[in-house]
Amino acid sequence: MVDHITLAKKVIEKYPITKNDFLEIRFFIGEFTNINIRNGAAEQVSNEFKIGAALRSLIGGAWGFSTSKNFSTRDLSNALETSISVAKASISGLSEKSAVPTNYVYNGVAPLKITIDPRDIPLEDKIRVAVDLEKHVRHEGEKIKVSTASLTDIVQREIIVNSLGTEVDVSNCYVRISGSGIARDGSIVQNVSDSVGTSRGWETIKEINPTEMGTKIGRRALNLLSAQTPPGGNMKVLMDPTLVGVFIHEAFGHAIEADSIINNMSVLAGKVGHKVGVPDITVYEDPTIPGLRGSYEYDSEGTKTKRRTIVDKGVLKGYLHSLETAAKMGVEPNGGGRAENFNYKPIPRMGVTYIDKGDMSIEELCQEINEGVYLSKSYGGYVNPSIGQFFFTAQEGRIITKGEFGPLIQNVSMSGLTLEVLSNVLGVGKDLEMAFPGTCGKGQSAPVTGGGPTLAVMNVVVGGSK
Amino acid sequence: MSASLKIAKKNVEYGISLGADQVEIQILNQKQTRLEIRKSSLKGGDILETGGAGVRVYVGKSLGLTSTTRINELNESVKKAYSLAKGAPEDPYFSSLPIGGKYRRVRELYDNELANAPFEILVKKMMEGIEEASPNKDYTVSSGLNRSVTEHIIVNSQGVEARTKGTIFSGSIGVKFEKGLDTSIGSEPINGRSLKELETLDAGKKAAEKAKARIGAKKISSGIMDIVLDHKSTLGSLASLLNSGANGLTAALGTAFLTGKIGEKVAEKGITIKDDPFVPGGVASQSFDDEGTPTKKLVLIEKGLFKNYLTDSYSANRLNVENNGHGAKNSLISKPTPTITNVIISPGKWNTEEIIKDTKKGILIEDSGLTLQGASTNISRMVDNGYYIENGEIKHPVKNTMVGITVFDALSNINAISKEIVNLWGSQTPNIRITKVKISSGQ
Repeated sequence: MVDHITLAKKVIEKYPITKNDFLEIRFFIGEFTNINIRNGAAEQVSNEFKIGAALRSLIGGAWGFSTSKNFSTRDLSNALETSISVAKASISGLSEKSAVPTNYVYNGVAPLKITIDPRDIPLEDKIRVAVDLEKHVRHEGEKIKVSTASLTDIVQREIIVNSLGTEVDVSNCYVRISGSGIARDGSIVQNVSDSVGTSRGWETIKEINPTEMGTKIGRRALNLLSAQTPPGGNMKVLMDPTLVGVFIHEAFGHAIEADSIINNMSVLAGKVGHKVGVPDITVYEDPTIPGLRGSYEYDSEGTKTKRRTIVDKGVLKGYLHSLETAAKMGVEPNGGGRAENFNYKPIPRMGVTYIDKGDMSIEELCQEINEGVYLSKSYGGYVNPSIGQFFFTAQEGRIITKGEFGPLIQNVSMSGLTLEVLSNVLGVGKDLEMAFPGTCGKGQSAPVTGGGPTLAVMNVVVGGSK
Repeated sequence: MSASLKIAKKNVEYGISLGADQVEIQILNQKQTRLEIRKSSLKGGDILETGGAGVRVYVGKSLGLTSTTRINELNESVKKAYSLAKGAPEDPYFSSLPIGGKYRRVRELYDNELANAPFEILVKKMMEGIEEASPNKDYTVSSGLNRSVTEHIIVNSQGVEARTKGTIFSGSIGVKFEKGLDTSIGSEPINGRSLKELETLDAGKKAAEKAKARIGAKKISSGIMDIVLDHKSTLGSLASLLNSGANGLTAALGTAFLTGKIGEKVAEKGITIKDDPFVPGGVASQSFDDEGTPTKKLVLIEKGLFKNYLTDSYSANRLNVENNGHGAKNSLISKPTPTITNVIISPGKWNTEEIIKDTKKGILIEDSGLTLQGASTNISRMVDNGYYIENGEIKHPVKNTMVGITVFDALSNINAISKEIVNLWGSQTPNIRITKVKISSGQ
C-alpha cells in the first residue's frame, strides 16, 4: 500500500525553497454513492470515484496550484513543478504578497468515527430505503406531481503534507437522505423538501423512519396548495430553527469568512470588538461537535479545528481563517480552510454555525411578534458580503395575528442587511436545534450545518406577491 | 482518431460484452488555466487538468451510472455501472439512448490563439481591465479568469460517435466603491471563445462606473410598481423562466408552468423568443448535446404563443415529441436534462430612454434577473442592483428591496420592449418593462 505521507515528503524535498516559501501536497480519495428515486422510478443509481492530488506552492508571495490524477513520484513532481512555475510567473504581477504562518505545524490522524460503514451496505438495502421514502411522499395524494427521494453516502480521505512539517491524515463520512414533493393544482405549484444529513455512518439511516418522513413531506406539499398567498412588505418575522440555521449562515456567516475580510469584500471588515447585535445574541462556529453534517476535525490544510466564538453577547469576536488569512491578520489559524476536492484550493468556510439558545418559549416569541409572519423550513439562500445584503427562502409559514398563529402561507423569500439584522432581534427561543444540514456553495461546495433556536426579528423584507 | 475516442469505443464494446443492453461513454479532457486577482493584485494562478469519464449502462430499463477521474481505469467504471444497473429499479419510461445523426458544424468554437496563450498573456489582459476599474483608492477590485481547452467525446452503443474541441474563457471584474461608511458594488462578466475577444478595458470601466453610481442606496416604500429590466436582466429572466417553463422533463412530470400550453398565449404578443445553438462563437453554441444528439434551432415563443419544449432523448420520449438535442449534464455522473442554449429575443418599438421616461413609479433592475425557486410559479426575488424611478426619472439606487409576482403575470404584463438589441455572448436581448409588480422594501 502506498505510504502517501512518505511519498509527498519525498516529492516536496526535491524542491528546495526559501524560508517564507511553502509547498503542500494534498491527496484526495473519495467514493460517492447516490440513489435518486423519482415518481416510483430510478432516476439515478450511481457510484463515483474522485482520486487526485492537489499541489500548491507559495513562492515569493505568489500562489501556484496544479493537480495530478496519478500518484507516482514522476506525476506528482511534474504537477508540483507546474505549480511552482505558475507561482513564479505570477510574482511580477504582485502588489501585495501572500504568506502562511510558519509557526503552526499539525500532525495527526483522524480516522472515520462511524459505527456502520455505508460502503458495507448492499445496494439493494439502500435502494429499498429511498424507494420507501419516495413512495410515501407520492401516496399522499394525486396532486403530488413529483416525488423524489435521494440517498447519498460519501467516504473521503485527505492526506495533507506541507513543507513546514504538517502531516495530517483525515477521513470523513457524509450520509444524507432527503425527500421532496411538488404539488400542483392548476396554476398553483408548491415545493416541499426535508433532509437528514450527518457526518456519521449508515446508523444515520437506521435512526430515521422513511415512511414517516415521506408521509410528512407529502402532506405538507398538499396542504400548501390551499394555503394563502404570502404577504409582501417590511414586517416582523418568527423563524423556526431550520430557517434560523440558513439565516445565520447567509445573513452573517459568509461575512465573517476572512478571505472576504482581507480582500476588503465584507461589511464586517474591521468590526471585531464592535457591537453587531443585541446582547441576547451569541453565535458560535463549531465543527468539533461530533456527527453533524458540517463537523470535521482537521481542515483541508491540515489545521486542527476548534470552536470559534463569532459573536459574544452582541459583540463581534473574530473570523474564520485559512492559513493565508491567519498570516495576513496575525492571528492563530482556526481550521476554516476547506476544499471540495483536489481540484480546488482551500478557502475559509463555515462548518457548524449556530445562534446560542435564549430563554423564551414559542408562545412568548409569538406574542412578541404580535402582528407578522411565522416562517419555517428553509429552501436555500445567498448573500453578497460586500454590501451585506442577503436573501433566503422559506417553504411555508403562518400569519401571526394578535400574538397567535393564524392561516398557513405558501413558499416565500426574504431579504435583509447583515449590519442591521442581529440588532433587530426581538427575542431568542430556548429550543436550540442543529436543524439545517445543507451544502454551501462558494465556487465549490462544502457540507455544513446551521442551527439555532426559534428567533423573532423585526424589519425583515418579505417578498410576497400580495 | 483521438486516443480518448478509441478508449470510449473500446469501453462501449466492453459494456455490451458484459451483458449490458445499451452503453454510453462520455469523456471530457479539459485543461484549465485560472488566475485570481484580489485588491487589484495578482494572487497567483492554477494550471490543471480536470475532467474524466462518465458511464451510463442500461440493463433492460434499469440504469447504472458511474464516473471516474482516471480514464485509464474506465473499464472498472463500466463494470461497476453494469453491476449497479442490474440492481437498480426499472424506469418504465426509458426507451433508448439516442441514435445520433448528422452534425452541423458550428464556427468559431475553438481558437488556437486562446488555447495556446501563455499564462503571462492572460495576466496582462486582465490587469489592463483591473487598472481601468480602480481609478483611485476608493475602489477595491477583485477579479478572476478561467480559460478552458476541452475535448468532448460521446460514444454510445446505438451509433452515436461525437467529438468536438472547444475553447472558452469566463470571468468577471468586480468593484467595490466606498464613500464614507457607505459601500456599493459593480461587476462585469468577461466571456468568450477567442483571444481577440479577451479585451477587459471596457469591462473594467463599466464595473467601476456601476459601483460608483450605486452608492447611496436607500430603502423605499412598498407598493405596486413597474420594473424595467436592463439587457442582462432581461436575458437572465427570460432565459431562466423558459428553462423552467419549457423544460421537457418537468413538462412530462407536470410541474413546468408551461405544461400543456403548446399553442396557447403565454406572454404579451410582442414577445418572440428563439433558441439558437448555431451562433458562431456563442458561449452556449454546440453542434450536439451531451447525449450526442444533433442540436436543433427552436422557436420557443412566437408573438406571445408558446411553441416548443426543450427536449432530450428521455423527455422527448415521454412527451412523444421530437428530440431537439438540448440535453445537458451538470457533471459526468449526471443524467442529462433539457437546457436552453443561446437565447434570441426579438426587439420591440421603444427607445430605452423612452421606457424610463414613460415609467411613473418603478425600479430599474440591472445585472440580475427574475427566477423561480424550484417549481413554484411565484417569483420572489431580491433586487441585487436596482434604481428607483419616479415620474420618468432615475432617482437613486435601492437596497433591501424585493420583487413579487407570479410567472404568468410577469410574462403577460410586459408592456414595453426596446428596439435596441445587445449581443451577449451569443444571445441577443432588448430591455423590457413589466407592469403591476409587488415591490417590498425596508422603509
